[in-house]
This record gives sequence, structure tokens and C-alpha cells, in this order.
Amino acid sequence: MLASLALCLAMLLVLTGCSEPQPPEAPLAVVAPPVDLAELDLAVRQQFKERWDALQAATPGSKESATRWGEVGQWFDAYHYRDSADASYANAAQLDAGEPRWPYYRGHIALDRGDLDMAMEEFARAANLAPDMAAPRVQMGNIAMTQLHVDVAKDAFDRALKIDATDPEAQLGLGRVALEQGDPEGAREILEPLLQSQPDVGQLHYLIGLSWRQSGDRVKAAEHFSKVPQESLNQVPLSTSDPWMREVQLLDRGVVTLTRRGVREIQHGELRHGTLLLAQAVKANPSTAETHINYAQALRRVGRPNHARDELQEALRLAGDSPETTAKAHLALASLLTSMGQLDVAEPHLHEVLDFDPRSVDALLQLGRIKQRQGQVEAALGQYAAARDLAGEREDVCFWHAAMLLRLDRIKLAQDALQADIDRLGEARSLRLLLARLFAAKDSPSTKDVDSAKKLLESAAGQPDVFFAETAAMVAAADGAFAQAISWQDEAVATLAESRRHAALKTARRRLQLYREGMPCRNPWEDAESMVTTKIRTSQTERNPS
Amino acid sequence: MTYDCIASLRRATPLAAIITLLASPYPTLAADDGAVAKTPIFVDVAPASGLDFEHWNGMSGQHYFIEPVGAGAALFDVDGDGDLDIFLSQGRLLEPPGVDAKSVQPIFAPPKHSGGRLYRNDLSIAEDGQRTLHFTDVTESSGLKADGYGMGVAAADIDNDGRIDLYLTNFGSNQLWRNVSKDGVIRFVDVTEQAGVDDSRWSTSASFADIDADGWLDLFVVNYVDFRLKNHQPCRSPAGRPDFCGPLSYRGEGDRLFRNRGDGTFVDITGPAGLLDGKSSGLGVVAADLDSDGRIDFYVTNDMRQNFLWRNLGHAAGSDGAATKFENVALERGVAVSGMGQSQASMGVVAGDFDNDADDDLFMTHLNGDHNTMYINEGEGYFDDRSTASGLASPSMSMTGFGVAMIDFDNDGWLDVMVANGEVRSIEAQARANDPFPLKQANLLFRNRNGRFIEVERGELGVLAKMEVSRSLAVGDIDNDGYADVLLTNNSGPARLLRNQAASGAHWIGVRAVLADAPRDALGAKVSVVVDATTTLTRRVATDGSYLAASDPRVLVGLGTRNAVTAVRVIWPGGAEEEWRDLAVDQYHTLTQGTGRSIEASP
Repeated sequence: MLASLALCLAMLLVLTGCSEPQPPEAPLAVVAPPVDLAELDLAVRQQFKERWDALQAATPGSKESATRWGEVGQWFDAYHYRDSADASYANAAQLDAGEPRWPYYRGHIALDRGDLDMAMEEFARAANLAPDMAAPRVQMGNIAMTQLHVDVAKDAFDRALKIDATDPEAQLGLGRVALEQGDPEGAREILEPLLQSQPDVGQLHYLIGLSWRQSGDRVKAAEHFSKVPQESLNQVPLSTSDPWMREVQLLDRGVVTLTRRGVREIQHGELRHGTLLLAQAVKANPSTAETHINYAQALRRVGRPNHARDELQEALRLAGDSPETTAKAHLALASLLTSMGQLDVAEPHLHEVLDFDPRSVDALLQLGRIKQRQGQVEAALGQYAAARDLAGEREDVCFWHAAMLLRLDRIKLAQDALQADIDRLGEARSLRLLLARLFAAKDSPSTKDVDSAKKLLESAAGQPDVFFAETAAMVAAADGAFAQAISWQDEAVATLAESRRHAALKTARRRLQLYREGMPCRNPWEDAESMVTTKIRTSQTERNPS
Repeated sequence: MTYDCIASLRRATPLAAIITLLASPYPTLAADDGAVAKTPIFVDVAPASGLDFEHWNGMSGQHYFIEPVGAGAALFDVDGDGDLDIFLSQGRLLEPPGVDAKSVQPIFAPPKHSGGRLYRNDLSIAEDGQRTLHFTDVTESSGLKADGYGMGVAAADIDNDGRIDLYLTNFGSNQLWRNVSKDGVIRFVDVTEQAGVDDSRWSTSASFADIDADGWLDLFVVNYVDFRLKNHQPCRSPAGRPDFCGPLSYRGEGDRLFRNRGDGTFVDITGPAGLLDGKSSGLGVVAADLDSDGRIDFYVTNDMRQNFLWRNLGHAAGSDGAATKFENVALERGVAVSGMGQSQASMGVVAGDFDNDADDDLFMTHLNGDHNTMYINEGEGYFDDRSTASGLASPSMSMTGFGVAMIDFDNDGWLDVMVANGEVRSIEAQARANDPFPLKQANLLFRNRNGRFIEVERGELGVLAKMEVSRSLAVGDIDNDGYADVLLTNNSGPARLLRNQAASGAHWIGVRAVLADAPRDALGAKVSVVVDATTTLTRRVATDGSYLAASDPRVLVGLGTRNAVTAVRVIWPGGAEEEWRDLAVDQYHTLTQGTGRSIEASP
């Protein structure tokens, strides 16, 4: 209570103003360019130079100088030179005490430092200077929450919403207040509408999940919790209406931020915008191989393989001294060329990677796929076997190794490998399905085992995809249940036709014909067959595989 | 608004601060408020006691991701003479691929002796009680050759022969060293291959725990990310300067669980146990019965990814019965992400009863710009993020925390907290001063006052206030005086042996819980000290937790001014409970299973 009174008193004194004589001016803080300026991205260096030159050109002590100090501070802030940012902002504030942005930024820097008292002071100052801005009040509310002064926090968020009724951070803050006060229904009343406007924000899902937990409904809580992303990088942040911080964030033209933003856009399906950002990253630092590699990957995704190839070749040229980056460029180029059907041109790049790093599982897998497509199955097996020795915990590696053994008709070896891998990996759905095919498809009494095939199918049940459907068809046919086999295979064919997987469709149609003729499938894994995990349409999902 | 009004704010703030000071039940003192100098609680006795170890990270200017991460330490009784000995992990030169090792110029000079080092404690206690510590490097004579790029240590008796063995995690192949010491001669044998417990990935922390109550300690190994020198990615700061990468630059690795067969070999049950899908960036692990169902669970801290709470399901119905099953319940139990719903860069972790309500809470450390997190166990393994209420949040915002010690340094019965800090990204002021390793920070020490933590005054920090790149903290009573001490490691810096000289005059009681069937510490047991009718203090028997560390398994319980206890109870792995009465305070007791009074479990 007394603590709340203290904070309110601070705010009251700020708001009433005073008439004290002006103290003498303190000298400005000394700020120097960053010591590592020469190592920074070209675009970032240029940005600094422009701002620094403008500062030098401004009349010392003038309002223009204040603005220039602030802009230099924003540059330091954007690129995480916090000490220099704080000193620059302090100079700006000293020269122009009426500008609310400078104390606002200093508040954020103090917050990062964990100096909550200083942060509160600066935000209060900014709030006083900018009565129409919600942002400083929101930050004051957040600090009050951190200090568990919940009533003060509520007051601050309410004030922010009076200024901007749609401020998302203020709404989020009130939601947190409600949770802290043990009012989960009240929290949901605030947070659920916010979630509707920003449905991808994991943070909102989590807080709503907590409210359900408080209400005792663990099932609803779990539903929301499941929507929280695994990695911090994939978290969609709450979209805020803080123009001052946005000003600093937009300043960041560094490669790292542009790349991160570009990758995020691509992950969210915004391929064109993501590619544009990665192009900007190249422009920000054209002499780094990595930016060209990232840009190339994006170009490939938007269907510009020739441009992608050019970027990768440039990356190879630039990567010269760095064997790791060179290997990365070779790997990306090999993958691109393979997708373009240029298998012979792709292969030497993979050998370059393996010369440098014989343990590169990705290179071994790619080489295996090239050999497969070239019909060199024995050679493909060699690559997959080497990959399995290195990365036996990867299900995909074990799968391709076993698939090649089946292609070469080494049934016993395939069976032993699959069994060992399943024992080691546990779930391993794709391996269970492949083993089910082995048991179903082969003729030899020692390997044909329909009961085991059925058990494996059951253990791999889940949302059926094409691979599952074709396996189920194979097992049904081995069991003499051709009507069921046809039904499953029909679904697989329909899905493949819809998704225009022509090569896989050809194989699937051939199998369908076999079942129609009352014949089981003898070959568990065809030449150049790929594992298609496209989901079968939902009308079939209730079907019992046995 | 004029400058005048800002001046009014300056007038206002001190007044407000005074009111705040009066209002707060626990005054928060500034780190350097010019108060009267206080005596440091901990004093570094490493140099004086012969513990002369300097960590070397082998950096040579490439900004390899591995460089700022290590390294670990163990406090354990290697020769069974009743005092704690020391093992310290060491780095090695990181040779860029394709470059001749001789031409590589490391930034820091290599250490005198390469590899991890083992030090025997030759503690002597005079008749007047004066304790003298002396450490002797016995690495060479012991046969222990830890020449990988060392990360962490786990210490426990894996073959139930009464001697503590060591599992060393590395960047690269790990090692299991079996303790075959005899007649005072310390000896180790490398049994990694025959035991089947190697993991060639980048392993960090590890924990020995009996997951199936069969009397044999199983092994949980945490792995970080798929970084190798050959897939090194040059990372940059936001401005483009070369800098260390973060964990999201590499693919996460899965952890590994090995079941002890009891015959000197282990079997990898990661897949059958259901742990295979947990590919992440693990740095810390604790094994504890977090939901009080009698089975040991594992909590794993992951860097920039959700943390895991692997709940032990036992042999789940419908399984083939071959392995104990686990299920990740971190999200629903409230310990996957922060209270704000964000994955944190979780590093060190401890499990312990911070609020003295007989269940284990969790505390973990995070990056600069984020706060360390305290999850309080609300009962049956559901947790609430109480970082803010605990007082541990804001002081940690400007720090990057790694090792964490749960230590009742003043023996008042409340578990205090020490955090080892050191950055992973360049600090501007240090970089400007041309520091070749500009990651240095001071450490933190908090007193627990009835569940609320207060930072100790700067004068009491002593060497903890030194700016270093601190990493691991192992806790143990190295001089057996009843006051817990701490072993602290620094990346590219000296190991510090922090002797507790709190000298609060408080009473204490120490317990070593030993199994009936095997002469080893009963890891996973719970020791409850019934102080009086209203106060029972509960502690785990454990060596794991912190960051890359192994600590003293003895339970040391502070009693404050109380000079007697009513009883000491032990819940053994498997659930049996026994009680001892009339145990004297201010001394250690070895309680062997089967020698106490059996207590029936209440319905």
C-alpha cells in the first residue's frame, strides 16, 4: 500500500510541475564511434557515417544538435551498443528537455539493465512530456507488474487505454493483472478478443491457457498451451502500437535482422516478401558468402532456380578462405542442381563437401539420392549405410538405408536393419510401415508374415497419408482382402492425382491394377519410389487398418 | 514541459524512494550504496590450498560456438576418506579444419597441464578444530586421462562397490571412468566402451538416477546442438560484427537415457522410453520426483527452446515392458516457458524446496535482458512462475546466468541462491577497452527470507563481485564444518574454491543416506528433518543440477537457533520410509537403510 502511495506520489509531483531556477548546464557525455566500425555491415557503416557527420555539422548546443544526438543514439540502440546509446540520448535530452522520445528510450535501456527505478523515472518523464502517448504508460504498468504493484499497474494500463483504446500491450497488461488477481474469467474477457485479432501470438495462447488452468479446466488449458511454439525464434510477437520503438527497430538494416525477418516471412508463407528482405541483406553486405546462400535458398523457393544458381556460385567465390562456408555453398548448389535434374553436375559438389567433412550426413544423403536416380542402387546403398553409421538416430537415414536393401532384394538384411532401428528409435513410424511392407510383399515363408505386418500397421496408425494407405493396401492384399486393398489404393491414387505427383501416381496405379486382378504386390519398394506423406482426405480417416 | 519540471521529478524521486524503503518489508539495498564494509561470506581459498587450475577454452579468433560455453566441476569423495575431492573439466585447442595445428595462435596461453584435473583433498582438522585444506593434483597417478574438450561431470557409484565413478561429457566422445581406488591409492579405469555409454555429440550436463528403482543408477545425458568445427557458421552481431552464434543457428540434438543393467553395462533406451522426439538444445538437467508419485522425473533446460519435464510413467500399460516410459508434460505443468509464454535461454537449473513446503521447486538461469526464473511447485508437479514475487527476477535482468547453487549458506533453514554470471555476447565497454574476451560479469548471491530473496550487500560478496566469465557452481562442505562451500569455474579463468565463513553461529545437521544393498549414496532419496511440531525441512539426496556440475550428495540442513531436532526421516528410492531420533546436531550422520524405525505409508 505504502509502496503504491510512493509511486503515485512520484507521478503526482511530476504532473504538478515547479518553478525552480535553472541549474548550470553539465557538460555533454563523450561518445565515440564504435571501435569495431570497420567490421560492421556496409549498409550499417554508411548509416552511422550519415548520422555521425550530421551530428558534427550541427551547431553545438542547438536544438538541431539535440535531434542529431538522438538519431545517433537510435543508431547505437538499434545495433545494441547500449552504453553509447544511453549517453547519446542523455545528451539529446539535456539539449532538448521537451522531447519525450529520449527519456523513453533511456527507460528501455534501464529496463534491459534491470534498473527498474531508473526505468520508471524515465518513463514517467516521457509520459509527462507526451500526454497523448500510451506507450510510456504501458511500460510503467509493466514495471509495476514486475514489482508486483498490481493496483499501480492496473491504473497505468487503464490510463494507456484511455489514450488508445486498442493498445494491444495495455490490453495484455490488464489480462496479466486479472490473472495475478485470481480472476481468470476476467483475464479471458480481455485476452480472447485480443487473440482473435492476433491469432498467431503464442504468448496470448499461453496466458489464456494459464487462465483455464486457474479455472480448473486442464483440457482447455492444454489446447492453448499446444499452440505455443517450441523455439523462441518462431514466436510471433505481439503486434504493438509503439511508434517510438518501431522507429528504432526499422532502423536496423543489418544483415542479421534482415535475414531473420526474411526467414520468418518465408516460414509464414510470404515467399516474395521474404525473398525481398534477403535480397536487401545481400545489398547490406554483398561481400559475405552467407547472405548469398540465404538469398539463393529463397530464390529457389519462389521458382527462380537460375538466379539461385548464380547466387550460389557467387557465394562459392566469396567463401574462399572459409572451408566451412565453402562446404555449405557446395551443399546448397548440389541440392539445387539435383532438383534441376543436373545430376552429373551436382555430384562433384557433394564430393567437395565430403572431402572437407566426411561426416556430413546431408551430403551423404544427397549423394545417395543422386545414385538412386542414376539407377546405381548399390552405390546409393553405400551412401545411406555411411549416413546411418553417423546418424543412426535419424529415422529418415535409417529409412533410406533399409529401402535400398529392399531394392537390392537383400530381404534378411533389410529386415534385421529395420528391426534393430525400430528397437533403438522407438516410434519410428516410417520404419514400421516399411517393415510391414516387407512382411506383406515377399513370397518366401521365412519373410511373409501377414500377422506381423498387420500389427506393425496398427502400431503406425495415425492420420493416414499416402504412404500409410499404400502400405495398408499391400498388407490387405497379402491377406487376400482385395476389396479392402483396392479401397485403400484408390484413396492413395486419388490423393496423388490431386497433388500432381506423377511419378508416384504411376506406381500407385500399377499396384491398383494388380489388386483389381486379385494379385498381391511382390515388391515392397519400387525403383525411384519416394515416401509421400500427403494426407488422405478425412472421409477415410476412420477406417480400421485391420 | 520545461527543465524545471524535470528538476521537480529529481526532487520527488528521493522522497518517493524513502517512502518505498519504509514500505517494503525487505529493504532492497543498492549494490554499492557506500555502506559500512562487511565481511565477505565466501573467501577464495584455491591459491592457498594448492588448487591451481586455470580453464583454457582454446579460442583462436574464429568465434567457435563452443568457446564461451564450458566448463564444469565436481565435488565428490574420490577416496572414501570422508572429505570432498575435486575434478575440473578443461578445454583444448580448437584447430580450424584444414589448418596445421602448429600454425594456430590461441588467444590465451595453454595451461601448464592439459586435460581435466583431479585433486585429492588432504583436509586436516587440528584438536582445536582448526581446519586446513590442502589439495594435491593426482591426475597422472590416478590414470584418469580426460583429454577431450571437457564440458560437464556427473559423479555417482554406478557399480555399487562403494566408490564414486565419473562420467565426463565432452564436445565429442564422452567418457565413463570407473573408480578402482584401493588402500588409499586413487585409480580410475576407462570403461566407456564396455559400458556402452558413449555419445559422440556435444554433451553438456548429465545426471545419474535410478529411474526404475532396481537399485542401479541409470544415466541421463543432455546434448546441446549439432555444432562441429566443420559446420561452423560465421555469426554476426546485429551490426554485422563477427560474434558468437546462438543455439538456434544449429539443429537441436536429442538427449540420451541409458539403463544400467547392473553388470557393468548400460543399454540405450532413449527411443523405447519415448525421449527420442525431444530434439532441443539441452544444457542442464535435474532428476527429482517433481510430482510426488514416487518415481524420478527429469527436468531439462533448453537454450532458446521450451524446457522439458519428462514425467516418469513407470512401465506404462500396453508397452512391451522393456523400458520405463516418459512423457514431456512441461507445458501443461507450467515449466516449459516463462510466465509470459516465451521460451527462454535456460541454462543452469536446480531443484529444491525453496519455500519449505516439502516439495521441490525449480530455479534456472537465463540471458541478459531476460530474468532468471523461479517455478514454485504448487503440489503434485504443477508449477507457477513466481520469479517476480521471489525477488530473483530484476537483479538478474542485466546478467547472463549459468551455474546456480542452492545453498543454505547461513544455516537458517532456508535455501539461499548463488548464481555464476558471464556473458555470451560482447559487452561494449569491455570491447572498447580491447579486452580479448569481453564477457565478464560479477556473480549474484541472495539470502532467502521466508521464500523471498534479498541480494546480499556488495561488501559481503567478496570475490563473487569480481568481473569474470563464470560458469559452473558445485556445492559441498569441503572442510566438513557444517557450512556449505562452493567450487566456481571461470571460462578462460581460474577455478575458485569459495570457503563459507558466514560464521552465523547457527546450528545444523548433516546426513549421508546410504542404501542397504549397496554401500553408496541413496540418490533420489528424500531427507526430512523434523525440527519441531510445526517445522519440517525436506531436502533431496542428489549430486546433479547447476550447470555442468556434480555436487556433494550429503544433505546439510541449517537449523538456525534450534539446538535439537525431533527426528530425521528418509524416504528411500522405492518408497520405504524410516525414522531416526536422538540425532545430535552440529555433526554429520550416516543413515543406512534398514537401521531406522520403519514408518508405514499413510493411506
